[in-house]
Amino acid sequence: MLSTLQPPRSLTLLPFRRLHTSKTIASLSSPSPTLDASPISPPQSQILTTRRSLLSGETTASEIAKSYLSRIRLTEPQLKCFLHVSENVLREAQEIDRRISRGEEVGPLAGVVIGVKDNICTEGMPSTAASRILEHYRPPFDATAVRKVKEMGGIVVGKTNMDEFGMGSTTEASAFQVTANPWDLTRVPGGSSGGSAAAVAARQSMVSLGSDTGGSVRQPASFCGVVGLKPTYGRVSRFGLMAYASSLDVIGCFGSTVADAGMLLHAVSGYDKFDSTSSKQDVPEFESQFLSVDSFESEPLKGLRVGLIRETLEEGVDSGVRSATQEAASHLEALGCVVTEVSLPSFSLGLPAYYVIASSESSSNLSRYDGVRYGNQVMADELNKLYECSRGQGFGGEVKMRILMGTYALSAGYYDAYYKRAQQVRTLIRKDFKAALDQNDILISPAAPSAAYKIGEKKDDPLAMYAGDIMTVNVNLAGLPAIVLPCGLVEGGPSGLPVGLQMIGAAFDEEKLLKVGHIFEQTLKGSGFVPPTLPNVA
Amino acid sequence: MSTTLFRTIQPNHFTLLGTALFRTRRTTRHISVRCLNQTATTQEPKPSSQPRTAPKNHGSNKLDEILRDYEAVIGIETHVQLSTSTKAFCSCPNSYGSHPNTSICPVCMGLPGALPVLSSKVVDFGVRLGLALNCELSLKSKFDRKQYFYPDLPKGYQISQFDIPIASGGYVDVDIPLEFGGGHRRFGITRVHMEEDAGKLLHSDSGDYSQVDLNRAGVPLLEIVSEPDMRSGIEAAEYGSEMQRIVRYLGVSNGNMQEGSLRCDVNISIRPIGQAEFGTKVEIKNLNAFSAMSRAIDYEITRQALLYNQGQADQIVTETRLWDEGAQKTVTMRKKEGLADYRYFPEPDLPEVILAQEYVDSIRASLPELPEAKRRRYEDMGLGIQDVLFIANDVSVAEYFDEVISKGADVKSAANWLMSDIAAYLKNEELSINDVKLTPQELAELIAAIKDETISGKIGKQILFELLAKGGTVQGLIKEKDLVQITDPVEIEKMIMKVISESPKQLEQYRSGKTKLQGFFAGQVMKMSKGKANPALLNKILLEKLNAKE
Amino acid sequence: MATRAALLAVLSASPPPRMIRVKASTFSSSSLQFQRHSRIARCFSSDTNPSLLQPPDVSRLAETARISLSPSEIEGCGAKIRQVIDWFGQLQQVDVNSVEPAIRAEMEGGNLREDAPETFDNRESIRASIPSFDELLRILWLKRFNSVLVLLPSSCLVSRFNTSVKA
Repeated sequence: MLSTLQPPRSLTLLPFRRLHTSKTIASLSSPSPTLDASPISPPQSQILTTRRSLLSGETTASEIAKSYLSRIRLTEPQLKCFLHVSENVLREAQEIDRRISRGEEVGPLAGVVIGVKDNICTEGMPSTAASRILEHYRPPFDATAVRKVKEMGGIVVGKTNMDEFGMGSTTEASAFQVTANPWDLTRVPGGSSGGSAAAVAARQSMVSLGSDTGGSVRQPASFCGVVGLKPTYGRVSRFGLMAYASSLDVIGCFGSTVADAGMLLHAVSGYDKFDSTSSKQDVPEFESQFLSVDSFESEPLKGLRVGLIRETLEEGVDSGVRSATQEAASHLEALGCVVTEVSLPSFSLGLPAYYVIASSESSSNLSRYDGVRYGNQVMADELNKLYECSRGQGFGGEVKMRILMGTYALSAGYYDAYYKRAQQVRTLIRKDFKAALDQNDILISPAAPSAAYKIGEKKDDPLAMYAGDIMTVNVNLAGLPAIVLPCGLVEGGPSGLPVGLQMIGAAFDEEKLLKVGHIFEQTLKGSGFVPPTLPNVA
Repeated sequence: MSTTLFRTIQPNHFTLLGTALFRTRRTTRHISVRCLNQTATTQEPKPSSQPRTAPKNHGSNKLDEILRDYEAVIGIETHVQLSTSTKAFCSCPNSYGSHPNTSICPVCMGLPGALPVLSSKVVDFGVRLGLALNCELSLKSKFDRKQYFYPDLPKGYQISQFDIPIASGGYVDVDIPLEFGGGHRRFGITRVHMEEDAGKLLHSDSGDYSQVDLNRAGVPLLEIVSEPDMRSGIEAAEYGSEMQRIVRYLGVSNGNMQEGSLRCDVNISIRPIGQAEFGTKVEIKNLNAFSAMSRAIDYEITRQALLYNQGQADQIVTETRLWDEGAQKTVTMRKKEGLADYRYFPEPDLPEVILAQEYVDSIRASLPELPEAKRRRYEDMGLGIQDVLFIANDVSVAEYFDEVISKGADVKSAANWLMSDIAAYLKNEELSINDVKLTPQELAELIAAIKDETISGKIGKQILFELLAKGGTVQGLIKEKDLVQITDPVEIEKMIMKVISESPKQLEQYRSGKTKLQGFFAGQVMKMSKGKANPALLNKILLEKLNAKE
Repeated sequence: MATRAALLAVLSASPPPRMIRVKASTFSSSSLQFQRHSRIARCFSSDTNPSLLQPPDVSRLAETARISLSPSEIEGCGAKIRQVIDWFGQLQQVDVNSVEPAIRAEMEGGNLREDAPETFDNRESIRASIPSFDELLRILWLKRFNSVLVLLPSSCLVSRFNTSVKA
């Protein structure tokens, strides 16, 4: 029960808002349960559009790349999504154009402009995890996910801002800059993959890679009104992802449509011999799910069993979010789903269990940052002093705190009380999910208890910030796949703030999530959730 | 097995001193219920609980008396560097002696984003060694992270196995060399587990600089922890030697202490005889040879006994001491500040290690005959224990010996040749048995040729040298050098008569009592026959002729 | 057991839980039976007594984790950490009797690697990232003072000065 969270004080401080979707936000029509023809066309897949126009000669990769680079130049001063913009973008685009003109084959992601979260290694490009301790660090290798994207012709346009080492939910914990939410520049984009989410929302990149340990792809997707896809643990290789919590981390995908997120996921999925925790499960051809809306039947999801997680709609959740979720549930029903409430009894335990596990594992994973073999080194007379100063000055406050908590939880005599217990709670949570997913095809919930809040609002209250992860952490503990897609708007900002619906699937069942997500998105009446604060683009 | 391990609470022993080229290692604190009915099997009465008396230079009667009152309790931790082609968790080459920091990659350097991937060979070797040590295998084991900060530990943690090692609860049987009393001993093995090595810290001569070479970081190790069953330096040294023998027999490691592929750390405490409680345990490191181990232990036993005797037992503290080879004593490394907490937790980046029973069975079936089995077989063949220990000590020698026997050669002769002339040759030329040109087949030939008196033993020795150095066949050499023994009495008599006739003076002397001159005549006949006369026959006929009344 | 009580007393009396001084001789061999896989686990069964868990000592934790904190950081951080650790305490209320701990999501075992050597191509780049690295000797230099280690800046390697710096 959310009410047993100790203490979710700050949640009760948020004013309860009524959702006036269709009435107050006139320019954006509310999701309506009808499926009749609407003047507003459903969002288009940027990957498919790019592929079509490149192969037809309608445009060139260089032109596309140039337009994205100029938008980045235009919007970065306000948004600050990128820590580093690649110097090779035009060169790579030209290479693609050359190959196309020679009639050579190009990969399925040819010309696609991709942002990469800065905790994912990109060879020769700075990869800092938004931390001073890795300032100027350039990895000698590409993460497997990056290598795959490049092999398929994708162009890495730059490294996106994040909370340092993935620890945070707002991107305010970056050592270098704070990213603004494109829907309201005074608000956070969410975290820790805030830069990647905002970049896609602001159309600075077509798609982007992020990482999700406790919701770091899904929550920013919700805050920024884009699609965030978290795969099953082991679906995508973690090799090259700077580890935060090894048993929870996954690389996730952002797109402006479900199809884009799905196609990017397909590109990076698969067993990797460099990651023993990557799965040998087959990767289905996701693209076949992304049929045109015209081909849908009248009840395209007939018979699909959807479980709405009861514990996510209780006290502490913004009423606007609650309404948006309920309307999304209605939309699913209109599509033919059978929506019932399910209960996950161990739900509220997920939050403390997650933070124990994440702090503990991160305290160990971050031990390697000592200034000896790479990164910033602070000279000192004595070895321990060297370690202490390099790390003390290199790490930010939140990172230091979590390392200390993790050190505590793993100490002799405390292991059983904290870490082992948290792992036992993980088993309980997995059981709950399994039971629920035996009865349902997918589960749904909000992605976060509220829409994006103001920059600086939660900075000093760790528990308040942690409380915001309640919707997402359990999914990481269970290792399941989940997708967040925008389903409505609530009051706030110049034109409302997006709210995302989270859909959770059974292990390795991304196919189903993408199918449902795609149909939901394509039949949702709306403008495609483009932030109105920025110049409009298709 | 009632031994229990306090693994997280360990002595804090990180420092560098002088020429130490050591690695910090966990000390196990054996807080256990000692099974007072020993698992050791002995053919003779178990030696008294006294520690073996310290070597001669410590021997004074007073000291012996003091030592008689105490019993040493010794356990050994052995780290075996595996001779795999790659490191444990990455594909970097595992080769000794490369240029520093050349066998590195993101994984073993602990770069951000790198992940470990276990080599199947390491599991194979772990199972092999576990079975060879008569352990029970854990069909499901896992890895854990052992966390501490040190420049030779790139990730800030070592991947090891904490609570579920791959093998546990075994034993090893050894034979104590005759010169130290002989007898069989059985020592318990608490556990065997897989882990990775750290890099090397090299200290410059001037002492001002230390260098970090990470070639060795990530090299696979098997750690073997013994039960605290040893009672003396000799027993400990023999245990260590047996470990070396076994890993060499199995081919999992070259077991070379100088190279660091076999490292032993000793844990030793003493207690007054009759006391059930253990004394304070001291760890000794920097032991580069088994002889050093033995001496270090004897020294430490004496040191502790003297302190006890003087009522200063509280001066014995839990610490790590180094063996100073030059001064022949143990010295404090650093006084303890307290115990280190390694904050163990299960390694999330590595799946469980799961062994199928068929896999284990197939490895068990493929194990070579181990030293203990060989020793018992050789004993059954009738060889004396000295011979047994010599031949079984080196797997190549044992294999050579087995082949010679298989060609039908007489067991004792084969053993003798190996232990005397051949061993001497190997030592002089600094070769191993695998380098000699004399094939087992030819040695068997040689033995047979001597046995059926085709050639004499002396001739045999002569051609042995040539066979060892240049190869060739026994028959070939016999023909070439015309070495066939002369066994025709008539021919021998002829030669004898010739010699006698040429040496009337000596004959006179012999006949007047100087019977020793028989040797002179024999020697002359031998010379004349170019060594080919059959000695027995020669002497028989000679004697007849010499004593014949003319 | 008397020794267990002694151990519990040590834990509640001594300050940082990280440093637990235990003399082997305090344990009577006949009475002590520890499970091999527990650390001091016997004291912390599924009904953990939270009063035995000492609150976090931030300075000691920072020392263990090799992170330097300013006094104000210790104060500020400390309060937040204690608050969060307190909140972790609710895990103690859960009945986890006979629940297996889950190290990670369901996994296939195995995924082992062949013992075939491969040289990493970009070793130069790795070495280039090392702050104190001698290109000639290809080693990482550390300066030693009174048995402790110090890292030399690369510029010092050429001249190899021998300044004695106070450790």
